[in-house]
Amino acid sequence: MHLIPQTWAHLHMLVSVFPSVGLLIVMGVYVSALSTNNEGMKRVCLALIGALGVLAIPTYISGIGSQGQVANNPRFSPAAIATHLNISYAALAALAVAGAAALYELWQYRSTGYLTKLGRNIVLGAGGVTLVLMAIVGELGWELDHQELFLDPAKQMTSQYWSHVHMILNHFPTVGITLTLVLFVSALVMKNDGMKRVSLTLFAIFGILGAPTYVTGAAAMWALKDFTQYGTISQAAINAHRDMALLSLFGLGFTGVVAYFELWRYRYLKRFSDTMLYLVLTSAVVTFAFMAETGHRGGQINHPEIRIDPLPVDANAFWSPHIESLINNVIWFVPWQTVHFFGYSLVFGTVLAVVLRIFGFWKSVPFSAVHRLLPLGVMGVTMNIFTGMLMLMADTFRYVNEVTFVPKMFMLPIGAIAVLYFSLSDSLFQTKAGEDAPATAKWVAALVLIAWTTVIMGGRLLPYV
Amino acid sequence: MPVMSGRTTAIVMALALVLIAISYAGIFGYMTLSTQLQLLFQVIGIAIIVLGACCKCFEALNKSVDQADQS
Repeated sequence: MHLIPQTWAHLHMLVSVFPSVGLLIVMGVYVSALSTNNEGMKRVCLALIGALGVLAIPTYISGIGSQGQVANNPRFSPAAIATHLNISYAALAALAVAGAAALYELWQYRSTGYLTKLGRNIVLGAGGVTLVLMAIVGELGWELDHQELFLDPAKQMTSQYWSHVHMILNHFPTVGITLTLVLFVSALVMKNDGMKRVSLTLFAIFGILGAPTYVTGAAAMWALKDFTQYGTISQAAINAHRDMALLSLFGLGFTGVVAYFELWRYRYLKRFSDTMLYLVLTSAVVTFAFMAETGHRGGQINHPEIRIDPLPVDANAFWSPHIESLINNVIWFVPWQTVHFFGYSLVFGTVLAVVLRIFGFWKSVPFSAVHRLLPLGVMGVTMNIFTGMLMLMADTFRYVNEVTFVPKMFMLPIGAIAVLYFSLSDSLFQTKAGEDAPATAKWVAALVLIAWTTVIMGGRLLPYV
Repeated sequence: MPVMSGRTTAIVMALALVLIAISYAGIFGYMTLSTQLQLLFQVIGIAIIVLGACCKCFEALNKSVDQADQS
């Protein structure tokens, strides 16, 4: 029950991420629905945009309520709050226009049976303006409470960029899994295969994003630890968040992998297996519960204004510190490091074979045959997410402060998400023996190769550069 | 027919678990075993289980696609 907001500030933090991060995700799906001309998916997206438009009301009310609640709190600057509020009015107005246009489109569809171009253009235009304004409002909102972002970089052992990126990134899997669940359930009810494919792709993408979210979170912990003046930040609260974040990471990973396998199978079977779809649904629901608790515990760390229950006090009452001390021992570290290297071998071997076919070095086989190898690469990624997190926990501080760790973590999600293209592109899959792959596929293949080469080199150079 | 029957798979997995059990027995002091052997047994055991699971999963995925192609 502690997840139910009991203050305006808490409600504002919960609800305000949907019109920003949520709208970005839904707009992406809407563009995908427009490009594939999937009527059912367009209508679901319009309903979601309409719902997000309605959320403008609680976002506004809770924002005003929060302003009153923190008015006498010296932690918050009244001028910064005023700037945040002023721009948020424009953002919420644009959101309301996008939401109203989306709902009108749905309403007129009931009588005419088709969606209009004018409605589409208004939704896209107002939605786009909302996203730009929400990015500014969101940044200003984060800066209200997260004063650690303004500390002198020269005095920091771990860069605050990690904290900043974590604050932005963590909302994508959280809000993403919530909205994808809505989309996925709608797809199952409407028996819409296009929507099922988009939902499974989103589950896979958010599964991939779980890894950099966890890593930036671990780095953010060190960025906060460097400063003793943060008396309000408790290591026990951080550890409570980390425990649940680990469960969320594995939940996201499992959901993403099962979702990908079903996308892969769909390429050959042209239909989905109900068992696999319901496995994805069950896993996503469980992961959603983990993510809700992770988000709640994360919010408690640096937001004293929303705390109702007392924070935990014993930093050793959680698993993460115990896993850290165990994995720091060579007898537990080396076996998982070995599995990590096997994982990279699988990933790179698979990627290289697929990329060589796309580039035209192996034209004698159709792409559909090479595509059969991809699950091996996905298994390699899965092995490495599990073992990589264990290895990271052995010495987080050293890893996150190594020069080559940044490009490694930057290219990891790019390389993994780009691989999804190989299972999604119809024109690529239809490339027969002796035929050239489409030009777009070659660009994606180059990106994939560069990304995974950087990831492996970045990891290998960690102890030496 | 699978490449490796269920019985053979079970035997290989059981052997891997025995290797890991011996390693853990050494680590937790139930038997005398050098650190090198503790590591070696654990690495081999875990590698067999993880890579074996990958192979079986890969086989199952491709088989499900093959069966659909044939039907």
